[in-house]
Amino acid sequence: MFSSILSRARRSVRAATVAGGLGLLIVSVIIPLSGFAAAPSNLCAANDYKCVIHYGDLAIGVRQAALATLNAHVTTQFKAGRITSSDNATLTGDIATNESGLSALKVKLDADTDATTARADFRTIYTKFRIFIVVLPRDYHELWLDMIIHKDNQLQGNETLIQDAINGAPASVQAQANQLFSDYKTQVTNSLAQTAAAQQIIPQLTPSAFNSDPAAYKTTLTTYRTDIRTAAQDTKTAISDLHQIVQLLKSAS
Amino acid sequence: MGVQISGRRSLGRRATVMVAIPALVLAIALGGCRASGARNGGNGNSNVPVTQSTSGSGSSSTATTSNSGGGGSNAALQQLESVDSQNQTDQQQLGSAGSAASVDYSSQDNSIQP
Repeated sequence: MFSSILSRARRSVRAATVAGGLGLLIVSVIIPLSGFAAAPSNLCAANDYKCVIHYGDLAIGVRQAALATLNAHVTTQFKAGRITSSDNATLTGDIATNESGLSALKVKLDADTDATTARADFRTIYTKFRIFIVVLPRDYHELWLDMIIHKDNQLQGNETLIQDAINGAPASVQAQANQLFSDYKTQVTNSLAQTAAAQQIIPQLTPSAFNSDPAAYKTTLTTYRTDIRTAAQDTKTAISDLHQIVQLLKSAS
Repeated sequence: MGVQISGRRSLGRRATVMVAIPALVLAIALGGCRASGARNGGNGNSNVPVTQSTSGSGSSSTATTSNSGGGGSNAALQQLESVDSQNQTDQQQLGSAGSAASVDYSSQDNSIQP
Protein backbone atom coordinates (compact mmCIF):
# COMPACT_ATOMS: atom_id res chain seq x y z
CA MET A 1 0.00 0.00 0.00
CA PHE A 2 2.70 2.44 1.03
CA SER A 3 4.97 1.41 -1.82
CA SER A 4 2.13 1.96 -4.29
CA ILE A 5 1.58 5.49 -3.03
CA LEU A 6 5.33 6.14 -3.21
CA SER A 7 5.49 4.89 -6.77
CA ARG A 8 2.61 7.15 -7.88
CA ALA A 9 4.25 10.11 -6.19
CA ARG A 10 7.53 9.44 -8.02
CA ARG A 11 5.69 9.26 -11.35
CA SER A 12 3.96 12.57 -10.63
CA VAL A 13 7.27 14.20 -9.79
CA ARG A 14 8.79 12.90 -13.05
CA ALA A 15 5.82 14.15 -15.08
CA ALA A 16 6.01 17.53 -13.42
CA THR A 17 9.74 17.70 -14.08
CA VAL A 18 9.34 16.84 -17.76
CA ALA A 19 6.48 19.31 -18.22
CA GLY A 20 8.36 22.02 -16.40
CA GLY A 21 11.49 21.37 -18.43
CA LEU A 22 9.57 21.60 -21.70
CA GLY A 23 7.90 24.78 -20.54
CA LEU A 24 11.23 26.34 -19.62
CA LEU A 25 12.63 25.32 -23.00
CA ILE A 26 9.74 26.95 -24.87
CA VAL A 27 9.97 30.11 -22.78
CA SER A 28 13.74 30.25 -23.24
CA VAL A 29 13.21 30.20 -27.03
CA ILE A 30 10.27 32.57 -27.21
CA ILE A 31 11.57 35.32 -24.92
CA PRO A 32 14.80 36.02 -26.83
CA LEU A 33 12.96 35.95 -30.16
CA SER A 34 10.31 38.38 -29.01
CA GLY A 35 12.96 40.50 -27.40
CA PHE A 36 14.89 40.58 -30.71
CA ALA A 37 11.87 41.88 -32.55
CA ALA A 38 10.61 44.28 -29.93
CA ALA A 39 13.86 45.69 -28.69
CA PRO A 40 16.28 45.96 -31.61
CA SER A 41 18.47 48.31 -29.61
CA ASN A 42 19.79 45.17 -27.98
CA LEU A 43 21.38 44.07 -31.25
CA CYS A 44 24.69 45.50 -30.18
CA ALA A 45 26.22 46.24 -26.80
CA ALA A 46 26.28 49.92 -25.83
CA ASN A 47 29.95 50.45 -26.73
CA ASP A 48 30.29 47.80 -29.42
CA TYR A 49 30.87 50.16 -32.36
CA LYS A 50 32.09 47.31 -34.59
CA CYS A 51 28.72 45.64 -34.20
CA VAL A 52 26.97 48.88 -35.18
CA ILE A 53 29.24 49.22 -38.22
CA HIS A 54 28.43 45.64 -39.21
CA TYR A 55 24.67 46.31 -39.19
CA GLY A 56 25.19 49.62 -40.93
CA ASP A 57 27.12 47.95 -43.74
CA LEU A 58 24.35 45.39 -44.12
CA ALA A 59 21.70 48.10 -44.36
CA ILE A 60 23.74 50.04 -46.93
CA GLY A 61 24.35 46.87 -48.98
CA VAL A 62 20.63 46.06 -49.17
CA ARG A 63 19.90 49.60 -50.37
CA GLN A 64 22.65 49.57 -52.96
CA ALA A 65 21.35 46.27 -54.31
CA ALA A 66 17.83 47.69 -54.56
CA LEU A 67 19.16 50.74 -56.42
CA ALA A 68 21.10 48.46 -58.80
CA THR A 69 17.86 46.58 -59.57
CA LEU A 70 16.07 49.86 -60.29
CA ASN A 71 18.96 50.94 -62.51
CA ALA A 72 18.67 47.70 -64.50
CA HIS A 73 14.94 48.36 -65.05
CA VAL A 74 15.66 51.88 -66.30
CA THR A 75 18.43 50.71 -68.63
CA THR A 76 16.24 47.97 -70.09
CA GLN A 77 13.44 50.39 -70.91
CA PHE A 78 15.84 52.95 -72.33
CA LYS A 79 17.51 50.38 -74.58
CA ALA A 80 14.08 49.24 -75.76
CA GLY A 81 13.25 52.83 -76.73
CA ARG A 82 10.42 53.18 -74.22
CA ILE A 83 11.84 56.23 -72.45
CA THR A 84 13.81 59.17 -73.81
CA SER A 85 17.51 59.79 -73.23
CA SER A 86 16.51 62.72 -71.02
CA ASP A 87 14.31 60.45 -68.87
CA ASN A 88 17.14 57.95 -68.68
CA ALA A 89 19.64 60.62 -67.64
CA THR A 90 17.34 61.95 -64.90
CA LEU A 91 16.65 58.55 -63.39
CA THR A 92 20.14 57.08 -63.64
CA GLY A 93 21.50 60.39 -62.32
CA ASP A 94 19.30 60.16 -59.24
CA ILE A 95 20.26 56.52 -58.70
CA ALA A 96 23.95 57.35 -59.06
CA THR A 97 23.64 60.21 -56.56
CA ASN A 98 22.09 57.89 -53.99
CA GLU A 99 24.59 55.11 -54.67
CA SER A 100 27.59 57.40 -54.31
CA GLY A 101 26.09 58.97 -51.20
CA LEU A 102 25.64 55.56 -49.60
CA SER A 103 29.16 54.53 -50.61
CA ALA A 104 30.58 57.65 -48.99
CA LEU A 105 28.54 56.98 -45.88
CA LYS A 106 29.88 53.43 -45.74
CA VAL A 107 33.45 54.71 -45.90
CA LYS A 108 32.74 57.09 -43.02
CA LEU A 109 30.90 54.43 -41.00
CA ASP A 110 33.66 51.87 -41.48
CA ALA A 111 36.19 54.40 -40.17
CA ASP A 112 34.24 55.12 -36.97
CA THR A 113 35.92 54.17 -33.72
CA ASP A 114 33.18 54.86 -31.18
CA ALA A 115 29.60 53.64 -30.83
CA THR A 116 27.99 57.09 -30.58
CA THR A 117 29.40 58.25 -33.94
CA ALA A 118 28.68 54.87 -35.54
CA ARG A 119 25.03 55.02 -34.40
CA ALA A 120 24.70 58.59 -35.71
CA ASP A 121 26.03 57.44 -39.10
CA PHE A 122 23.67 54.48 -39.00
CA ARG A 123 20.71 56.83 -38.52
CA THR A 124 21.84 58.80 -41.58
CA ILE A 125 21.04 55.76 -43.76
CA TYR A 126 17.40 56.43 -42.97
CA THR A 127 17.15 60.14 -42.40
CA LYS A 128 19.23 61.29 -45.36
CA PHE A 129 18.60 58.67 -48.00
CA ARG A 130 15.18 57.08 -47.32
CA ILE A 131 15.78 54.61 -50.15
CA PHE A 132 12.85 52.32 -49.42
CA ILE A 133 10.22 54.81 -48.37
CA VAL A 134 11.03 57.71 -50.70
CA VAL A 135 13.50 56.95 -53.50
CA LEU A 136 12.28 53.58 -54.78
CA PRO A 137 8.53 54.35 -54.74
CA ARG A 138 9.14 57.74 -56.37
CA ASP A 139 11.63 56.52 -59.02
CA TYR A 140 9.80 53.33 -59.98
CA HIS A 141 6.69 55.45 -60.49
CA GLU A 142 8.72 57.99 -62.43
CA LEU A 143 9.98 55.27 -64.76
CA TRP A 144 6.40 54.12 -65.29
CA LEU A 145 5.33 57.75 -65.81
CA ASP A 146 8.07 58.35 -68.39
CA MET A 147 7.04 55.21 -70.29
CA ILE A 148 3.41 56.38 -70.36
CA ILE A 149 4.36 59.84 -71.61
CA HIS A 150 6.57 58.33 -74.31
CA LYS A 151 3.77 56.04 -75.44
CA ASP A 152 1.20 58.85 -75.34
CA ASN A 153 3.38 60.97 -77.61
CA GLN A 154 3.68 58.07 -80.05
CA LEU A 155 -0.08 57.52 -79.97
CA GLN A 156 -0.67 61.19 -80.66
CA GLY A 157 1.85 61.08 -83.50
CA ASN A 158 -0.10 58.29 -85.17
CA GLU A 159 -3.36 60.24 -85.44
CA THR A 160 -2.83 61.27 -89.09
CA LEU A 161 -2.00 57.70 -90.04
CA ILE A 162 -5.14 56.42 -88.32
CA GLN A 163 -7.32 58.98 -90.08
CA ASP A 164 -5.77 58.02 -93.44
CA ALA A 165 -6.47 54.35 -92.78
CA ILE A 166 -10.09 55.10 -91.88
CA ASN A 167 -10.54 57.28 -94.95
CA GLY A 168 -9.20 54.46 -97.12
CA ALA A 169 -11.58 51.91 -95.63
CA PRO A 170 -15.01 50.95 -97.01
CA ALA A 171 -17.69 53.49 -96.09
CA SER A 172 -19.64 50.82 -94.22
CA VAL A 173 -17.13 50.79 -91.32
CA GLN A 174 -15.96 54.38 -91.28
CA ALA A 175 -18.57 55.65 -88.81
CA GLN A 176 -17.69 53.01 -86.20
CA ALA A 177 -13.97 53.48 -86.79
CA ASN A 178 -14.28 57.24 -86.40
CA GLN A 179 -16.16 56.78 -83.14
CA LEU A 180 -13.32 54.65 -81.78
CA PHE A 181 -10.80 57.15 -83.11
CA SER A 182 -12.57 59.99 -81.32
CA ASP A 183 -12.36 58.09 -78.02
CA TYR A 184 -8.71 57.29 -78.76
CA LYS A 185 -7.85 60.99 -79.05
CA THR A 186 -9.78 61.80 -75.87
CA GLN A 187 -8.00 59.08 -73.90
CA VAL A 188 -4.56 60.20 -75.05
CA THR A 189 -5.36 63.82 -74.14
CA ASN A 190 -6.64 62.77 -70.70
CA SER A 191 -3.60 60.61 -70.09
CA LEU A 192 -1.21 63.43 -70.95
CA ALA A 193 -3.09 65.75 -68.58
CA GLN A 194 -2.70 63.21 -65.75
CA THR A 195 1.00 62.73 -66.48
CA ALA A 196 1.53 66.51 -66.41
CA ALA A 197 -0.10 66.64 -62.97
CA ALA A 198 2.08 63.77 -61.73
CA GLN A 199 5.25 65.44 -62.98
CA GLN A 200 4.43 68.54 -60.92
CA ILE A 201 4.47 66.43 -57.75
CA ILE A 202 7.90 64.81 -58.17
CA PRO A 203 9.94 67.69 -56.64
CA GLN A 204 7.88 67.37 -53.43
CA LEU A 205 8.85 63.72 -52.93
CA THR A 206 12.11 64.05 -51.02
CA PRO A 207 13.57 62.47 -47.87
CA SER A 208 13.48 65.84 -46.11
CA ALA A 209 9.77 66.23 -46.95
CA PHE A 210 9.13 62.82 -45.44
CA ASN A 211 11.20 63.62 -42.33
CA SER A 212 9.39 66.88 -41.69
CA ASP A 213 5.82 65.54 -42.11
CA PRO A 214 5.41 61.83 -42.89
CA ALA A 215 1.59 62.00 -42.99
CA ALA A 216 1.55 64.89 -45.46
CA TYR A 217 4.21 63.14 -47.50
CA LYS A 218 2.11 59.99 -47.76
CA THR A 219 -0.88 62.03 -48.94
CA THR A 220 1.26 63.63 -51.66
CA LEU A 221 2.63 60.23 -52.68
CA THR A 222 -0.90 58.83 -52.93
CA THR A 223 -1.94 61.67 -55.26
CA TYR A 224 1.17 61.04 -57.38
CA ARG A 225 0.37 57.33 -57.62
CA THR A 226 -3.29 57.95 -58.44
CA ASP A 227 -2.44 60.38 -61.23
CA ILE A 228 -0.06 57.87 -62.82
CA ARG A 229 -2.46 54.95 -62.47
CA THR A 230 -5.24 56.99 -64.09
CA ALA A 231 -2.92 58.00 -66.92
CA ALA A 232 -1.91 54.37 -67.43
CA GLN A 233 -5.55 53.34 -67.65
CA ASP A 234 -6.28 56.08 -70.21
CA THR A 235 -3.30 55.00 -72.31
CA LYS A 236 -4.39 51.37 -72.11
CA THR A 237 -7.86 52.32 -73.34
CA ALA A 238 -6.40 54.33 -76.24
CA ILE A 239 -4.27 51.33 -77.26
CA SER A 240 -7.37 49.15 -77.08
CA ASP A 241 -9.30 51.65 -79.25
CA LEU A 242 -6.60 51.52 -81.90
CA HIS A 243 -6.52 47.73 -81.79
CA GLN A 244 -10.28 47.66 -82.39
CA ILE A 245 -9.93 50.12 -85.28
CA VAL A 246 -7.29 47.94 -86.92
CA GLN A 247 -9.38 44.79 -86.50
CA LEU A 248 -12.44 46.57 -87.89
CA LEU A 249 -10.63 47.91 -90.94
CA LYS A 250 -8.92 44.58 -91.60
CA SER A 251 -12.22 42.71 -91.48
CA ALA A 252 -13.75 45.16 -93.96
CA SER A 253 -10.92 45.22 -96.50
CA MET B 1 -36.36 -7.14 -153.55
CA GLY B 2 -38.34 -4.23 -152.09
CA VAL B 3 -37.10 -5.23 -148.61
CA GLN B 4 -33.45 -4.97 -149.74
CA ILE B 5 -33.91 -1.39 -151.06
CA SER B 6 -35.54 -0.29 -147.78
CA GLY B 7 -32.63 -1.74 -145.68
CA ARG B 8 -29.99 0.14 -147.76
CA ARG B 9 -31.82 3.48 -147.23
CA SER B 10 -31.95 2.93 -143.44
CA LEU B 11 -28.21 2.18 -143.32
CA GLY B 12 -27.45 5.37 -145.27
CA ARG B 13 -29.48 7.52 -142.87
CA ARG B 14 -27.69 6.10 -139.85
CA ALA B 15 -24.28 6.81 -141.41
CA THR B 16 -25.32 10.40 -142.14
CA VAL B 17 -26.48 10.95 -138.54
CA MET B 18 -23.25 9.47 -137.10
CA VAL B 19 -21.15 11.89 -139.17
CA ALA B 20 -23.39 14.93 -138.69
CA ILE B 21 -23.63 14.84 -134.86
CA PRO B 22 -19.84 14.85 -134.18
CA ALA B 23 -19.43 17.57 -136.78
CA LEU B 24 -22.08 19.68 -135.02
CA VAL B 25 -20.46 19.17 -131.60
CA LEU B 26 -17.06 20.15 -133.00
CA ALA B 27 -18.50 23.27 -134.59
CA ILE B 28 -20.15 24.36 -131.32
CA ALA B 29 -16.93 23.79 -129.36
CA LEU B 30 -14.83 25.79 -131.78
CA GLY B 31 -17.36 28.59 -131.77
CA GLY B 32 -17.24 28.77 -127.96
CA CYS B 33 -13.44 29.03 -127.92
CA ARG B 34 -13.51 31.86 -130.42
CA ALA B 35 -16.05 33.79 -128.34
CA SER B 36 -13.95 33.44 -125.16
CA GLY B 37 -10.86 34.66 -126.96
CA ALA B 38 -12.72 37.69 -128.18
CA ARG B 39 -13.82 38.60 -124.62
CA ASN B 40 -10.28 38.41 -123.26
CA GLY B 41 -8.96 40.74 -125.88
CA GLY B 42 -11.87 43.11 -125.84
CA ASN B 43 -12.38 44.53 -122.32
CA GLY B 44 -10.81 44.49 -118.78
CA ASN B 45 -13.30 42.30 -116.97
CA SER B 46 -11.01 39.30 -116.68
CA ASN B 47 -9.12 38.64 -113.41
CA VAL B 48 -5.99 38.01 -115.44
CA PRO B 49 -3.95 41.20 -115.78
CA VAL B 50 -4.01 42.45 -119.34
CA THR B 51 -1.13 44.27 -120.91
CA GLN B 52 -1.83 46.60 -123.80
CA SER B 53 0.87 48.19 -125.87
CA THR B 54 0.59 51.02 -128.32
CA SER B 55 3.21 52.30 -130.67
CA GLY B 56 3.50 54.78 -133.41
CA SER B 57 4.78 58.04 -132.01
CA GLY B 58 8.07 56.76 -130.71
CA SER B 59 6.72 56.20 -127.22
CA SER B 60 4.99 53.20 -125.78
CA SER B 61 2.73 52.87 -122.77
CA THR B 62 1.80 49.82 -120.74
CA ALA B 63 -1.35 49.66 -118.62
CA THR B 64 -2.06 46.84 -116.22
CA THR B 65 -5.51 46.40 -114.76
CA SER B 66 -6.71 44.00 -112.10
CA ASN B 67 -9.62 43.64 -109.71
CA SER B 68 -8.80 44.99 -106.19
CA GLY B 69 -11.82 43.90 -104.16
CA GLY B 70 -13.92 46.12 -101.87
CA GLY B 71 -12.36 49.30 -100.55
CA GLY B 72 -9.14 49.07 -102.56
CA SER B 73 -5.64 48.71 -101.09
CA ASN B 74 -5.01 50.64 -97.82
CA ALA B 75 -1.32 51.37 -97.28
CA ALA B 76 -2.08 53.30 -94.08
CA LEU B 77 -3.80 50.24 -92.63
CA GLN B 78 -0.72 48.13 -93.26
CA GLN B 79 1.40 50.64 -91.33
CA LEU B 80 -1.23 50.78 -88.62
CA GLU B 81 -1.08 47.02 -88.16
CA SER B 82 2.61 47.34 -87.40
CA VAL B 83 1.91 50.18 -84.93
CA ASP B 84 -0.80 48.10 -83.25
CA SER B 85 1.55 45.15 -82.86
CA GLN B 86 4.19 47.37 -81.24
CA ASN B 87 1.52 48.88 -78.97
CA GLN B 88 0.57 45.45 -77.67
CA THR B 89 4.19 44.75 -76.69
CA ASP B 90 4.55 48.17 -75.09
CA GLN B 91 1.31 47.70 -73.18
CA GLN B 92 2.75 44.57 -71.58
CA GLN B 93 5.85 46.52 -70.57
CA LEU B 94 3.69 49.31 -69.15
CA GLY B 95 1.88 46.70 -67.07
CA SER B 96 5.17 45.31 -65.79
CA ALA B 97 6.39 48.81 -64.92
CA GLY B 98 3.14 49.40 -63.03
CA SER B 99 3.60 46.19 -61.08
CA ALA B 100 7.17 47.13 -60.16
CA ALA B 101 6.00 50.57 -59.02
CA SER B 102 3.24 49.06 -56.89
CA VAL B 103 5.60 47.09 -54.66
CA ASP B 104 5.40 48.32 -51.07
CA TYR B 105 8.94 48.86 -49.78
CA SER B 106 7.93 50.75 -46.66
CA SER B 107 8.34 47.76 -44.34
CA GLN B 108 12.05 47.70 -45.20
CA ASP B 109 12.50 51.23 -43.92
CA ASN B 110 11.95 50.35 -40.25
CA SER B 111 14.72 52.06 -38.40
CA ILE B 112 16.25 49.32 -36.23
CA GLN B 113 18.90 50.97 -34.12
CA PRO B 114 21.72 48.49 -33.42
